[in-house]
Amino acid sequence: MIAGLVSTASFLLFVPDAFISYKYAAFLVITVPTYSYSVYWAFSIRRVLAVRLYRNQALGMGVIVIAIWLTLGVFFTTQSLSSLQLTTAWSTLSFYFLIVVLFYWIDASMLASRRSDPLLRDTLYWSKLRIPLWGLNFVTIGVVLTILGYAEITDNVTLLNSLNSGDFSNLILAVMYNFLSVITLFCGVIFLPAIAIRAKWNKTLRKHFAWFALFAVLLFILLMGSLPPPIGPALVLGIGYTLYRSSKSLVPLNRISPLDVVPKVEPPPP
Amino acid sequence: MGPPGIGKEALGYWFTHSGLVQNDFCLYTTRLSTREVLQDVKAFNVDFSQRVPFWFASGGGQIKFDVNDLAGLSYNIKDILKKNSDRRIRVVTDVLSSLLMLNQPDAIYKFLTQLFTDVKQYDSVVLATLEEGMHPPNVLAAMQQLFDGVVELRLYEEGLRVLPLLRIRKMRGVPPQPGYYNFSFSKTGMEVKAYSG
Repeated sequence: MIAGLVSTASFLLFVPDAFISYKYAAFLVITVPTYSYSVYWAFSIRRVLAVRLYRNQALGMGVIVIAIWLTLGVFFTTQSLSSLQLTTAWSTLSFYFLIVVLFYWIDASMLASRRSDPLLRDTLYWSKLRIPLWGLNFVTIGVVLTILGYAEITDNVTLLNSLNSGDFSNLILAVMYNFLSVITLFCGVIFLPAIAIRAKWNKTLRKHFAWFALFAVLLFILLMGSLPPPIGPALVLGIGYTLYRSSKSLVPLNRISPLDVVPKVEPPPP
Repeated sequence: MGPPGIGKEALGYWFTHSGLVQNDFCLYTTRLSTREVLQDVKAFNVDFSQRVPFWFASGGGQIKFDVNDLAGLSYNIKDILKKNSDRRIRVVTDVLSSLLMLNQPDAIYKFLTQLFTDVKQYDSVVLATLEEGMHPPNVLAAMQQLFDGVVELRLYEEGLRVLPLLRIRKMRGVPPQPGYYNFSFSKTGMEVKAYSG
């Protein structure tokens, strides 16, 4: 939750009024326990795994939860902000952080699923495709951050508005701005179902993906429309729960049988 | 046996490494390429730079492994063992789960029974890894019955903690050992300690 703490601290520093908003307080109360629990499980599982590919997948999952929490928090709090510069900076950075992390998790999941495939099948040539995609993603991020920096420094209202809406008059900028999210969405929709179908014997991976798919559906519903008060917070909670279940199903977890635990032997007193 | 990512392969790497140090002949049969195994090996601080096993791998090895060629697999292993019959032999393999998923389990059972009969003619030990959660319970039970020893690596949930624990399910010549053991990988190998709750 370091990102969350940094976010909260900087909001407190620059926009103390935002904390007066009941929305922000409600958001914190509702989300912090659920989302931090999801992050905790993802990182705990990462810590005990021995193979790097699977550790990366768990790391990606944990950071996704942080990024989702940050993005939702920024989305709710920036609605009450009047500073276009601050709103644009926070929303662009949090959104791009989320997209990069999602791409990282997709990449890690694809590599991990190949490793557990009996024929080591490279689904839709991912191992070759991932390298140029990462390259293009870095270029896109560089361009967007440069535009953001320029717009913030010069206080260019047109550019700031374009960054907020993703609607650029320049076609190249428009393509660059949306490239990362389109590619990540494309990979998520095409590649993940492909490996889920292919890995029919790997129940753990399929369960992990099933919960993640449910999370994606809930997030889509949340972002699509303005929902009335009981439904909106319930969806935010639902998203936290599906992320928690997805984190916990990264590996099969068993219960210790008390009958098989060898009792602790105390050394005899000297 | 254990779920993906828990470190079964690492046990195999250290087993191979200790065999090489003792000048045993070590055969590493893998569905991966040697490049992938060597990358993995580095992550566990196992040093294969001085002494290397005999590779029977899908790429980069002395013999090419084809997961669909059971007869070739059997022939090559027997041939290699025969050529090194004057030494102690260690065979490490990660192909068992792949074989079970691509063939009928009873065919693999017969194949392994025959292979083990041949292997036991030599001073040899076979260490095979098996993926958990990918095979039906009856297949796992059959495999446990076939091997002289079975070590189970699993992740357990204890309160808010996730614990990697080891259990000896079976070890020929040793009385049944109930109980769990903590395990971890260090720079010098696998460390196992009794778990007492």
